[in-house]
Amino acid sequence: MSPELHIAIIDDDDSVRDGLVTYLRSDGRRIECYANGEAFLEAVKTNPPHIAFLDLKMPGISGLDVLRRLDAPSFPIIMISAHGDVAAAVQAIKLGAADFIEKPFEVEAVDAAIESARQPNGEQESAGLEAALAVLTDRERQVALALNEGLTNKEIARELDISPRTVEVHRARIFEKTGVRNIAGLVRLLSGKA
Amino acid sequence: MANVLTAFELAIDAVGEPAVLADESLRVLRRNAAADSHPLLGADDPFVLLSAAERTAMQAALKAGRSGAFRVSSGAGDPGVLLRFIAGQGVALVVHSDAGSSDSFAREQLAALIETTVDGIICIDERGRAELFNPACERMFGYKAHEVIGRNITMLMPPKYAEHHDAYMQAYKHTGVKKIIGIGREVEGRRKNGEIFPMELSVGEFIHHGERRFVGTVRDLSARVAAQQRLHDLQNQVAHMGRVSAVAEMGSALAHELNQPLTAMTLYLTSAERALGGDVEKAKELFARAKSEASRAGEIVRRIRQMVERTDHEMATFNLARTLAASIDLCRIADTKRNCRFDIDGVSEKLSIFGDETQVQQILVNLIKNALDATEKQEDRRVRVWADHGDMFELYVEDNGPGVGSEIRERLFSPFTSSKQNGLGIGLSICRNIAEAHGGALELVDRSGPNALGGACFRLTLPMESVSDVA
Repeated sequence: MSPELHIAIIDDDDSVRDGLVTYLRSDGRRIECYANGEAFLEAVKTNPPHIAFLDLKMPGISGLDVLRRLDAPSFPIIMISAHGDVAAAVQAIKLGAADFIEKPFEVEAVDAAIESARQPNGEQESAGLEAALAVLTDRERQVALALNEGLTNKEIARELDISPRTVEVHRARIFEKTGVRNIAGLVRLLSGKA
Repeated sequence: MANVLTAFELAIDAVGEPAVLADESLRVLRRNAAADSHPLLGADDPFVLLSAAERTAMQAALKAGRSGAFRVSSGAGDPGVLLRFIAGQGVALVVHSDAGSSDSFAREQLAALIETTVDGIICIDERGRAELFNPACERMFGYKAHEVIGRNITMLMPPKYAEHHDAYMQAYKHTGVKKIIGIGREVEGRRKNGEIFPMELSVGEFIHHGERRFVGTVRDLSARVAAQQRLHDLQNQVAHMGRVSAVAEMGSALAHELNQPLTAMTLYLTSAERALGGDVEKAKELFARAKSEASRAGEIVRRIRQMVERTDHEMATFNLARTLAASIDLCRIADTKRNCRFDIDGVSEKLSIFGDETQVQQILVNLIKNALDATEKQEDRRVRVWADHGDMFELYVEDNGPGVGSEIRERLFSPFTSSKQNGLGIGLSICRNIAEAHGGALELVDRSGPNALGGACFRLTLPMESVSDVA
């Protein structure tokens, strides 16, 4: 039997927190909730979780601030971001977050995030960084680097003077070729290189 | 007035006898050639021989649009002369004539005036039958004079006026209480083709050979009313645009706010589904929580809709405290930081304002949102809203942000002025328009002293409908 899984939830919205606890609660799991970053940072000192769900936008210190103060945390952190807030999510990955899910999220995304966070040597690393980038065309590499900067599809389209639809196509090809699941994976891959 | 003036000016030059044109305060506006050399009408004050009472009477008559005459004489032995005056809107044509020829002369004057003026002139007897219907009336109503003269004037009125007119005239005859005489009023007329149109009517009366007669001057207002309506529609469109842009500026924050209940709903519903197999009571409770999250989402959408809805610019009495609370709610929803301290003071629960509630809310949302935006970088964010009232209702919105920079201060209320990166810069200019259209004002005020928060302070002034509990 695996030991009890300790999950921390940090979100200022009472309902979201309560909903997540309700959904995640099951045998073999211990779930602890924090309404703000300060409380979590305090608790982490003595009681670090196995996984944390951390909201990006909170009053007081933000999710990004929490990441900065944790400074290379020993446990995977899954950021909860608002839809369209890709830039902040990408920054979170660069600061060491394992993944992010966008509100309003499907429960499948929560499950998948826990799953991949629990397998630290998953997808990206196994693909091999050099090999992964080598398979990209010049255009795909441009798009990949722009995604890594946190630009949205629309912004990339404007920058490269192509249609947003074309950006989407490149994006899908990039994910497929490099074997990453989403932008979070891509950013982790490229950050590993830098 | 300009048209009447022109008509009188034409008339004054056309008459051979000394005549002057005077305004309501009996100042001479123009003399004809014969008046220039006349001992009385050529004098600085041609009314010098009038007594104070006669002067007052003449001014009152002019104001009311009544014509008349005064016999003036320099002394007991002087037979004097007759000063006839013909009143137009705010001006009078004053003619000197000797007693012998005054009647025929006045008739000529009157005929010239009646033929040339662009205002419609109608004369009726005390039973309401038309005796005079000038060319301007023919153009306005579409009837020829011969079709109207001798018939009851009610044919020129829509039914709602026509059916009471005879009774009104009877009532005046018996009581002498003036409802319209001497007062210009906006009423409706009816053209030959049945079209009802807005017109301005002023009525004067005179007695001729012991019989009472009424003279009406009418002016077609349909063009003016249509132009006002267009302006009105345009103002509404601009105001709506402003609300849409305000919501657009808050857009991503509002979407984020909607995501919270949507996320919670998904989680509750999934958990409820899972619980259905075993623990039905728990499932029920989770459904209830999902429902309350749906209401929360609905409430947010309702607030947003309220702002972007088009209104018919319906003026009504509404409770200001309620509108203010809704505005603060909306702005707080859109404020992601949530750490601003709000102080609200002196806004009576019973204060009523007459106006367009949506548009007033638009002003409030703009002011409060601006205040919240301004304090974004402050450690200790504060916004204060307080009310004051003298003759007018005053609402102040003050913040502890950096204040309004001198470079932007002068153009603050001009369109396309913004210090914000994504601001369209039309918010405040539209708000000022709305406030002014309500008979109020919107200004940036200087605050200093120990109580000042140190940032910007705006004052919205609106006419008050009522307040039952003046503090």
